[in-house]
Amino acid sequence: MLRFIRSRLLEAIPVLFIIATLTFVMIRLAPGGPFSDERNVSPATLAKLEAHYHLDQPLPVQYLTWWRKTLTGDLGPSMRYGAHSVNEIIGHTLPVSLELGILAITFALVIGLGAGIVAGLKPNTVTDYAPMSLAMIGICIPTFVIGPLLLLLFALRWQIFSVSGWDTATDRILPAVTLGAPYGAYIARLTRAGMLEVLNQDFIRTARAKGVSEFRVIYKHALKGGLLPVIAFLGPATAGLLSGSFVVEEIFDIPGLGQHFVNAAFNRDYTMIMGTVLLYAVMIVVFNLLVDIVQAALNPRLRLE
Amino acid sequence: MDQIDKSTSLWSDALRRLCRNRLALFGAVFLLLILLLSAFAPWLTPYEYFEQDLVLGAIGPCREHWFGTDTLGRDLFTRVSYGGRISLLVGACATSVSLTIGVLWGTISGYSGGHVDRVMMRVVDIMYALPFTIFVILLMVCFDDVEVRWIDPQLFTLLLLFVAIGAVEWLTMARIVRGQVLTLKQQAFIEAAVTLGLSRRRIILRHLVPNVLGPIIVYTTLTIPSVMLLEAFLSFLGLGVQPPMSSWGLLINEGADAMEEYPWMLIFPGLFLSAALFSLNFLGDGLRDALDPKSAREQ
Repeated sequence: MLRFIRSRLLEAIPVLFIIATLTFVMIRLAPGGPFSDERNVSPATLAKLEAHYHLDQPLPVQYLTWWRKTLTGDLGPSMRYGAHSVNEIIGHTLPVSLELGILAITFALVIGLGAGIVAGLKPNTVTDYAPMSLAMIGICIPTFVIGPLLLLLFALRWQIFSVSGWDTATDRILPAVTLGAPYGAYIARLTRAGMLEVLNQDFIRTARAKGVSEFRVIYKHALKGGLLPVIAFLGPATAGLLSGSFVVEEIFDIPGLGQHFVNAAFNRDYTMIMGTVLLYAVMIVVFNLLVDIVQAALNPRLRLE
Repeated sequence: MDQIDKSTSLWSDALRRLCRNRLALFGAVFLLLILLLSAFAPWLTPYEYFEQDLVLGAIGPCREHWFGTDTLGRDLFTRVSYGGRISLLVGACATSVSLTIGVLWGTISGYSGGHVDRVMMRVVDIMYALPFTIFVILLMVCFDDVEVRWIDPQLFTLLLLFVAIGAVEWLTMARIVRGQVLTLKQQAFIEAAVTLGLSRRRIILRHLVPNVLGPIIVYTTLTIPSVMLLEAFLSFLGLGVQPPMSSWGLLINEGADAMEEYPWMLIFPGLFLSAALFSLNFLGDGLRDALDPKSAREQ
């Protein structure tokens, strides 16, 4: 197991290196710069600004400097919000985005697993069709349609929730539901398929023949196998949750990292872009690794590969 | 010989099964309607997509404006139909980009085997780990205002969309095609066909192509909705086509801003996008059931 984790971590290094390099090359090839929209900047001031952020040095030198500082944990000063470092901005906004993501995935798991189990136990009946139709709706209506619709109904018409903000516990409900809904729908479909496959297998019949209670058959035996595809799905889902949070944070006006990332790209805030992309990449790599470890622990056949 | 050919023809069987699947059929018909609506938009409506009637401002659905008008007094039915053009065009073109890359990559990898296969699949594995939406966003933001003289800027944005989305969506296709080629290479019926002395052309056209084509068609139908969703996502963030052009994602974005007073601005484009995604997914599911030989045996 340790060897497996070590080899996966070693594989992550070139991936992170490629991501950082690609991002660096891409944002530097792009026209414009962090100070290009500011009006009334004299050439002398511009030169000073660029010298301050070391933008006057040759690109390879800047690239190496960035890596040297990043490896010591310093992502540099933000080029747009001069007073704040990228580390500070991430420190303020990342907890908000993480909370949103965790709430969304919790909602998705609770709803998805529940609906999937109910549907999988009695296939081709009403209790199968109803949740599965709902799941199809959840998959086909995009986040940026569900979000505004929920706002329109629950915040503007019925005034149950406030329209925007991130202050009270109730402020978190609509964004988490919006972000989690499509994943809940996928998880429901995967759980149903997984349950159907497992319930037809010999060991379930054996368990039933031995007189094990139906509850135990489902929750002790079937669910463990039926969950495998769901766990495998959680890896790619993290990457999806990240991009989903860009939209949800914009719709509900949530002060998270997603909005900062999109704005940083618009503003050519080089250090901020590099910092957030690297952070996202690390998060995705780490989460995929966790998912692989859980999978290997649950399914010994995978470890041999 | 003719009779055997007839009874085992994959395509007529598949078509029969597809027609029995009501949801898939409904999806196909609805899709055709949207396609016609978008294609003939200029003849179906008396308005232009950029034509403003500022006297009216935003008005709700009525006889002159079936879906109402937006805050600038533009006819929403017109904008939704023209938006469908962009959404479907991006869906079709970006999917072809991803289809071409994916099929080529998968076929070469699977057919060559050995080291070439290992390296090519490793590249796919690594690319799977990249946060791709982030790269698409960076691509769209950073190169959106490149000064281009040789091409219309709106067209350039569209091309950028095709390339950016197409470059992201080919990975799964490559894996599927490689897997198919690998299994086909060593299957008995191919050997049997060779032993029977059938011509290469006949083996490829009658035995190889239909077997690889099924999964490709199914996966293509399922790629189109995810591509359209990505386009709408980018347009919603303000990174796709720019007004006064229209696309469903852009209209949803405008609608979300104005929904408090003018909810129809959100509801109609949202409805069309969701319905198109529904239809494509149902059609894809139906095609998978129809073309999968395993499900054929069960029936």
